[in-house]
Amino acid sequence: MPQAAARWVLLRIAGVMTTVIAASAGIWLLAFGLSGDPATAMLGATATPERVAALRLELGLDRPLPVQYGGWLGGLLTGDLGTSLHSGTPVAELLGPRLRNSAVVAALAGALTLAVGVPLGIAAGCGRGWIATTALAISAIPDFVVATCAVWLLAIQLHWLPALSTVRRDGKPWDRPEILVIPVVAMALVLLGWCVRSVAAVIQNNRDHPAAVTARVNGVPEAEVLRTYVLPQALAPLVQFLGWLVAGAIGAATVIEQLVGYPGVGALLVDAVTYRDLPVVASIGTVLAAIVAGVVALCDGCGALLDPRMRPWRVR
Amino acid sequence: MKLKAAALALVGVLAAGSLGACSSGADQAEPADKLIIGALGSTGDTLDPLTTQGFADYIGIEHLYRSIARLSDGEVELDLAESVEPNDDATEWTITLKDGQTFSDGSPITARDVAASLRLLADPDKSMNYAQFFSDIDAAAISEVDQRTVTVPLKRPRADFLSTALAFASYVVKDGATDWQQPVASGEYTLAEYSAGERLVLRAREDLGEDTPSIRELEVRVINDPQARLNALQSGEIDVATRVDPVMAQTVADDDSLTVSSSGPAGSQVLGFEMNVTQKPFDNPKVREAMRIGIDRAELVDTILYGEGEVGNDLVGKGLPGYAELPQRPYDPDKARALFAEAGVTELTIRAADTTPGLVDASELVAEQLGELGVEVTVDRTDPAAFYADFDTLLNTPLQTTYYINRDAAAFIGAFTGSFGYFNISGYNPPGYDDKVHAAQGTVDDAARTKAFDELQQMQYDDGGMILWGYQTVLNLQVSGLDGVAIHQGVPDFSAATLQE
Repeated sequence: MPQAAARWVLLRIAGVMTTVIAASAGIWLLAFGLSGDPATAMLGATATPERVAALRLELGLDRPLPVQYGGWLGGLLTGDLGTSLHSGTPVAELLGPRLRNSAVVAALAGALTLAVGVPLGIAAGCGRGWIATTALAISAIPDFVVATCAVWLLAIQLHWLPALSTVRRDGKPWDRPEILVIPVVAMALVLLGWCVRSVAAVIQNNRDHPAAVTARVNGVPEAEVLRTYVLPQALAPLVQFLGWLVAGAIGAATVIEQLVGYPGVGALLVDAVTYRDLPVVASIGTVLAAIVAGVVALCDGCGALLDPRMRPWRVR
Repeated sequence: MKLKAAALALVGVLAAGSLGACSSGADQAEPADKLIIGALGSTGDTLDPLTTQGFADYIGIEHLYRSIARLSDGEVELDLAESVEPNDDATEWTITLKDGQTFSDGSPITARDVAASLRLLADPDKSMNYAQFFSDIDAAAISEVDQRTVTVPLKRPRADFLSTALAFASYVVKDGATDWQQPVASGEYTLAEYSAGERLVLRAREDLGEDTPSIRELEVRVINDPQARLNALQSGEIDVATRVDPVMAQTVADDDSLTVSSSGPAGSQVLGFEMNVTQKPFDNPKVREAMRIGIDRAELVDTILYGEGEVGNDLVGKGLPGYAELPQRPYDPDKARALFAEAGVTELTIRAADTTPGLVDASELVAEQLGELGVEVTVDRTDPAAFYADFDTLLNTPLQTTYYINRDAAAFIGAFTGSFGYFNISGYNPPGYDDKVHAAQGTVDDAARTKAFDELQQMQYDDGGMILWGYQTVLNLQVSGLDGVAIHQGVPDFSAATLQE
């Protein structure tokens, strides 16, 4: 059996790498499909045919797309993310602090989401239908509306918190913890509805497990049934759900960070797309794809460890 | 509504919980000698006046460097220069500096610095932003007559050199300056801190005596999202939000603590369309006329600019000296319909891109307006970043959107029309046009030169391919109590401003 497990782990790692490389090629094609030309975007209104041609040559944009992609991918595999066309800064240098900043918000928002969402989800799964309905309603509000409302209420009306969540370049997000509240709350709200619905669904699926039904028939109190029979069964799918929470957080971050001026990876991506800064767009996209694919695979693995039924290498 | 209420309630509950940890919220009120400005910028900014594109940088440069001459509310104003005079045929200009001007390092501002600055501005390899406006300078032959006097020889007569080149951009930097992030300032402020795409901090110079600005510290924060700039202003974190949308300005119209400052037409941008006069159907003057009178400009200004602007008359330079006051183009849908029918025009395509916000919406509105005149208009949306990339397309498209920064009519004609134009998108270039422009630029007599440029504007107005329907004023929002902010070509200048808390 350990052999089968090891094979599964290796296959899964290979799968993640394939996904990431395929995603990077897709991102390159999409970025190229933006049709904007970095040289023109950089020169703006001062572009002339000669100047655009010269800058394209300087930036290496005259090379065929597969050659540009190959060069970038080769660098990536040796740990070099390339250099920003726009600022001339190595992408790794730009990305490092931004990833850290985004991770801080995502971790806090994720913790808040789980702390509130899991109990609510369990309650909803146990028949409190109005909770699930409310969660559905909340998850239908677009993230920019949630973020805008949070800024309007907490910063502009109540003056409790700053509307801007800027971080000094040489500073850390936790130097002024108050700036984190709005992005964290906004992101948690966006994720909350989703979390509640997923947890409720998992609980519902496991409530009528034969063991739980038998226990109920034998007069075991419902709370006991939940603790002893339903939750252990539901744990593995819940851990797997965590992986998708990370993907959701990344999506919400691009919108929320931009609105509050938080220097995270989402805001950097928006900036890079504006300037058609292909190496930055491609590197961010690929790093994010790697994070999502990696976390999802990891959570799948953990789920499998927790619940023998979910082991893909299990002999059926 | 219920959803929103539920969301707000949740925000409130969660925030109340998370607030326990941090007792103080928004920033404390700043002292009245410090001003914080929110502006666009990017990490690629350099503070190099010759190449920068970032608006935060422009604000910094405005305060770090004084100019030989500049445009203030549309009028040419000598700044560091005491006099700027041409010779008899305007082939050589003599610049004399005011006495006693110094750099922030204490050294005097001399003729040598002015000569070096002009050579930099005219250098096509270094001066991406301005070289084309100084292309007639004979840079190698610029000479220093004495400590305060420079002569600038030109390759051909340019009687408009002061108003269209020097007043447009003539920053004076110290001879040999190369490190733009460690600047020696000729302006009222020095640079205390610079972090591209994040912030820049300027301190008022202490050595200027009574000319020392009342606002001792200026901080420009890069906030790229216009809504985020407005939020920061409303929550009291910044004092000035530059370049806000007219819609946003309207949402705070009844807030007494904020004031809208408008650039007026002099500091505006001009929005419109370019008809290519060499392409069908716009090679037919009747079709051009039909377009000009078939578009309801007032509706465009009301709808696209939310009334924050003025109706245009197909010319650049309104509110600035040298603008030809020609009769306002009428809106005459009946005549336009007849002209379109006569020319057999039933279909048109507009190549449209939001190279500045609103151009695509304007195209859609024009499509509706022309639809009522029996012309079916297709709006072909193009990526704004790609709009100027494909020059073949740009110069061979019958009808497309355009915008210009409003500038002196003579400067516009010299830089954007004719065969020497930067891009002459309308293709309008009748025989003898270039010669007329050169002759106008070389006319020394002010009245005669004005007349010559008036004639060129009349030609563009009668036969050219530009439909410039509106002047969009640039709006800044600021805290009430801030007074004396000057605007130089759209960039705010706080060196003479005062702030009452």
